[in-house]
Amino acid sequence: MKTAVDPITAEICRNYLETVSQEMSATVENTAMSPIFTLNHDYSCGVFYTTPRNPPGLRPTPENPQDFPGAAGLDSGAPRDAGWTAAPDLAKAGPDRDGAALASDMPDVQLLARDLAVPVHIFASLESVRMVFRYFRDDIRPGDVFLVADPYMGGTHCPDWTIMKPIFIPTPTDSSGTPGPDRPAFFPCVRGHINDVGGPVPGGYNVNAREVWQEGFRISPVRIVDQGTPVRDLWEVILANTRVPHEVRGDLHAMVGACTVGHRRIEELIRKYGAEAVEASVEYILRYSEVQLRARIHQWPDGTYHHVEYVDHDYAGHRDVPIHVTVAIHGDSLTVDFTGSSGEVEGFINSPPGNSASQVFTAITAMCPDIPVNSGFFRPIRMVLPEASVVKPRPPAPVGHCTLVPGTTIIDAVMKAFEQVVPERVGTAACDLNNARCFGVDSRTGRYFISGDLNATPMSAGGAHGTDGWGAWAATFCALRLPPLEMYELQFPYFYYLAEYATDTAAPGRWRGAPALHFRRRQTDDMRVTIYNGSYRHSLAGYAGGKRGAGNYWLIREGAPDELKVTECCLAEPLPRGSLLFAQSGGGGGWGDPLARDPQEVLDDWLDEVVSLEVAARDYGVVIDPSTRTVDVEKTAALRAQARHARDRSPSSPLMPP
Amino acid sequence: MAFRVSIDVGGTFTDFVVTGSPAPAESGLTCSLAASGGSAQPFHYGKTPSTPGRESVAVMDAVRLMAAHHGLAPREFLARTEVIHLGTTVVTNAMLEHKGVPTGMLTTRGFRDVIELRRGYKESLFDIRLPPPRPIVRRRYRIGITERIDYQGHVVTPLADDEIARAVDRLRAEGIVSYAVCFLQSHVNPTHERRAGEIIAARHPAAFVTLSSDVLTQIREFERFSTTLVNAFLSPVLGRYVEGLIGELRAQGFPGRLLVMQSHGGMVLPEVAGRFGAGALLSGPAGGVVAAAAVGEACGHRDVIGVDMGGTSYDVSLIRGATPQVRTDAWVARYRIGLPMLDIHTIGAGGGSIAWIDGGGALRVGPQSAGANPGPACYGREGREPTVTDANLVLGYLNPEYFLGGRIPLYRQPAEEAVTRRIAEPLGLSLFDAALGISRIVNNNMSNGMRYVSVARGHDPRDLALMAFGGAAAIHAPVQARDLGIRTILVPKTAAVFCALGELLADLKVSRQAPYARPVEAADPEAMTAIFRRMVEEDAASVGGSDVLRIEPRTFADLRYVGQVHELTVPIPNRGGTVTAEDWAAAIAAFHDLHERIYTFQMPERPVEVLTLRQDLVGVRAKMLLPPAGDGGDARSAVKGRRPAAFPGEDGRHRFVDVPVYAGERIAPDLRVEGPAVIEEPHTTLVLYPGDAASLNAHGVYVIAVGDAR
Repeated sequence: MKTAVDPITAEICRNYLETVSQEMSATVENTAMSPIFTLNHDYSCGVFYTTPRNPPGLRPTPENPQDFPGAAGLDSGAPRDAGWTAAPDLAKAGPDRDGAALASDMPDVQLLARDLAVPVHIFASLESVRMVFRYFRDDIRPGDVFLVADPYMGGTHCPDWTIMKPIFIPTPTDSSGTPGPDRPAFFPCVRGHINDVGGPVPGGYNVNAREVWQEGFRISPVRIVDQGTPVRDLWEVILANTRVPHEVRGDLHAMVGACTVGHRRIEELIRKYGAEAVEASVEYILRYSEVQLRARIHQWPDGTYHHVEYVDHDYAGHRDVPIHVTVAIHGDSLTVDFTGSSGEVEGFINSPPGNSASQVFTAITAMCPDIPVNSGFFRPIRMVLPEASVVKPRPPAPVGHCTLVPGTTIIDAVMKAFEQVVPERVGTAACDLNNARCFGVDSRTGRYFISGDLNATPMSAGGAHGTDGWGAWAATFCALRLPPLEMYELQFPYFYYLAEYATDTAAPGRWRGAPALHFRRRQTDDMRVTIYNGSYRHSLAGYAGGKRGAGNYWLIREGAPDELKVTECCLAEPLPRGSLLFAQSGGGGGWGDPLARDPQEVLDDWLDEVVSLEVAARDYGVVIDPSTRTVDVEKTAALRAQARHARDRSPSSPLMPP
Repeated sequence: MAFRVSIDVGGTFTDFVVTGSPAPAESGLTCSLAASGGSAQPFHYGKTPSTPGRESVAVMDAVRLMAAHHGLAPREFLARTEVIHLGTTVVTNAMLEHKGVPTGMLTTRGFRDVIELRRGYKESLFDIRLPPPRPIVRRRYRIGITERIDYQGHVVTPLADDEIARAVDRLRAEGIVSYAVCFLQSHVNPTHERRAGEIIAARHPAAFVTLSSDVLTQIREFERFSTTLVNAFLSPVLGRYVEGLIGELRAQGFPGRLLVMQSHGGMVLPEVAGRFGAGALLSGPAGGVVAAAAVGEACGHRDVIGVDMGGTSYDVSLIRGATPQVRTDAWVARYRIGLPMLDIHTIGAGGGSIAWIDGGGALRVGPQSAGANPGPACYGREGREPTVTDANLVLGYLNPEYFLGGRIPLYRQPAEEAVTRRIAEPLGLSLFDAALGISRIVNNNMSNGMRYVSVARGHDPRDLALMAFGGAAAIHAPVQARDLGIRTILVPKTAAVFCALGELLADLKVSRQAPYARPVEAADPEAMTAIFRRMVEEDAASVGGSDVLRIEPRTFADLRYVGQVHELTVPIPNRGGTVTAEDWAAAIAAFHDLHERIYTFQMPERPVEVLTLRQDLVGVRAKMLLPPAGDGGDARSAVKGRRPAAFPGEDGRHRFVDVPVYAGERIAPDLRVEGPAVIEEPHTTLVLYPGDAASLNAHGVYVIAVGDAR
């Protein structure tokens, strides 16, 4: 570690590791089986590094968010609500319960590079790699591959599986001149969303879950490949706990394959520059991001900024769950404090710390998109998550929906707090993906299927300073891919009628949000659908005077006598052959005052059928003459003056919970 | 005696090559070219400045120069020219500058935003302020039509003819001159698109119409629609250009045929080119890759990684079995192009690429470039930023008096000043270390680019020869060879006109796809043969001609494991277009192997399915070889001087070493030049690292045996 490395070599290593992550991603995308991986791209790849034991200078410190509490340590929780077991004694949960103190000889784990990724995986995989270290410590050998998928052991929710493979390097000789044993130093790692991990509800997302065991199969850290040999019995145990073993087997192969690709490339790097030089580049790599983020924060005015956003409901009957964020900027570092947020809730929207932190970093990354994300990026940011809160639940609180709910709300709340600091940098970075899982047997093949069709929920792009919202998801989530409709008709018993922007649904702003998408699909086979909707009443936030997005809802069996409008959730509702499923997926928020939008742009929106004449006048104060297809300049000026006057007299209050 | 001509219209220069002239001239720019039969034919090449915006002016300039070289008037020369091969950046420029024609789109009702949703793609993952791509067709000109066909090709909702008529009337009134017809599942059943095309043609006869089922007959609507829109946007531009050029040439007495280079590395007739403008987006650089394949094969290397270093970019391409690799998932100007294109991976690392220090204190090179104007600091113009060329000058690789054969003088002082001021001082490095840092960073970027097309695609670079053409590629090549474990570097003397040369050597080619989704066991060799045969019938005329030796159908299938959503394209062996059960089994076996090679594993127990059949119908032409450039001298007489240049020593550290500088034009084929050394050719400079040894082979190509990695 003491070897000095020249900055050029260090930069080459940094660049190389970023490339390795990209190559790993390509392997997963092209080989995995689940549509959720391959078509939706719900996975992330990265390269991690573990410090030698007792590394001077890299020890976690209170200011250093690396020691950010890693879930609830080794405690796997105790049953929660059932009368047949004693209430958990949380005080006895174990020495690592708060994760605050890593054992003094524990190596620490650093994220070095990552590729295009679903943002919620950013920080959370760090916790997963740490957890493998805690579990296996001295029992990690070359050729091993590890899997971990437990919300309370470095995970987010049960379906997010993390696979990693150690790369060993020689330990520098000690003072007596004897070389130590090789140690696992680098970990290529893939984290991906597995389509089904058992539990009562196909595809996960059990809206009735009241404890984590009701959400799927938890996998504590396990060795799935033992020195090059797959542990067959363990694979079979894992595959016995999914409804789609053929898919998941392929996904596991794909993830292990990606780690192998990463392993090979990193070994090549080590061969070329030597382990010492590569290792010595680590601090350079981390500082590279840290320095840039600190410089950015330093430009922001010191101060304390608050905001509260609300989650629609917790899927257990409680509405308007507050997420309270206080951002404190001090010099070149900042604190994000969730004190005042809701306590742990009954339904499955509790967010383990790794997930909560990932959401915060997503927001900050979107404000500084040019800085590479690695553990150095995390250093200037301190986080305060109150105990037993919705952002730091205790096991066995259910967490199944946390990546999206309250994930979406956390990102919006953080962004809204920063709106007061750097308004031109904020905007919708969240994705209120309120999906449905359909499941049944495809009579064409006789095969059981589970499908989350992202075409129903593709919208979250908001306006930002300088550009209207466009495309589908907010930029941060654009690693997600919309599946081709033609391919889905081939693969699933679906027939599409509509997947198009809807007029008068774009969030107004100086730069408006992307419109909502309207979706209609006919089922060509019997199936059932589970829907877990949110962002209906508290839709994606608007910024700097821009309005909120249109929000999400569903119509099951649309047009039939038993049509059902779903704004919150439903479980395994029948969707018979021939029935219609409709969805509105609302776009992101607008940015800036709609009355300041260039009237010419409003005219363009009218010509493009994004707004109607009525809405052009009502929301933007723009009067269009449809016969000449021009803006009536005088009437527009008058209408806008009138609207401003009315607004000044009764400033609209932000949407508050009832 | 008939002439065969090739003209490559680039951004800065228009290059030409002509063969078939009566006798070799004395000019140093003249080599001889042999047909594979063996009879040596002389050939001549040169350059003339391009005339952006009026490309045909440069073409006619090139014709005048070629004619003059043969002592003929342009009219006489053209009268005796049997074929002109054209490589053009007209389409590329129209795309990059968004200067296509006003385009409208008819699509299935309910799906007109497919093109805007882009399957969610955004180019910058976290940039919430990234603006959208410039629309080729604004929403108001995308009109939904009532119709629907299911995934098996059955009509569910009949086409509403009257809606098409109304849409055309409206679009026509708005000034639309080109129509893209993009219906869902049209790749399985194109009847609705064809009917729509007929109605448009009847109602708006002057307009250009393109059907998605013609442009890209394969599943995935976004990819197909995007390619089709680009095609509608650009084809009329290329069509007009080629038509105008032919008119001009005909007026000058040209009786022969004009062929246009396509992105897939084959030539097509002008009629085909004009219908598929989206297929010409790489018409410029494709020629260089084809030449690399042909020259590599002539030198005994059928597996080659080609690198072309220009002023702003570094293009990497891969050739396997003397065949350039193609891809079908490219993006151009933020639009997806699903047509087969040569897999040319471009990174921002050219001679003019600027070195800078980013916000994190890291030394970076590119993608910003000083371009040709003001150019690198060493040009002594207005350029104040240090570039790769400046670093190469400071490090002693470049000769200030002999850059581009002495046409541009280089100045050491401004180069040193730029490197010192912008890099050395802020980083606390010496001038030498700063210049070396620039060189190392750009070398690393280049090596990463090469890994991307080789390692990441399952090709072991140690099996490849590295062919360096264009500008300074051969200065950096010894480092890339060592980074990737490559043992042989090839540097052709003809690199300066490689694109034009490639166009002369390229085969005629038409690429087609047909949907054929089913489990591989259910695939019927006879039915597949019939599909391929139909393609041959439709396209045979397009790839024929007096210079075509034979027409060869090359057949492929896109396969995947059931459940995967990405396919791998594997060749299906065929016997004169007939696919047998054994051929099909061989294709399936090839799929498993390819999957393992690229992704580290295969799953032989899993079912495999086919999605798409592909055929390249190739009009194979005689391959021409490049015999020796002529006489030369001995080693000593080829040395024109010595100078200090940066080379790694035993310890791996670079320092200045006083090395011999060779004059390329004095190097004889039997001469062995050992590194460390520099060889100066008029258009390129070769750097030989310690342990490297170069010799000039019979085809006018330097073959460098790479020494041990250092």
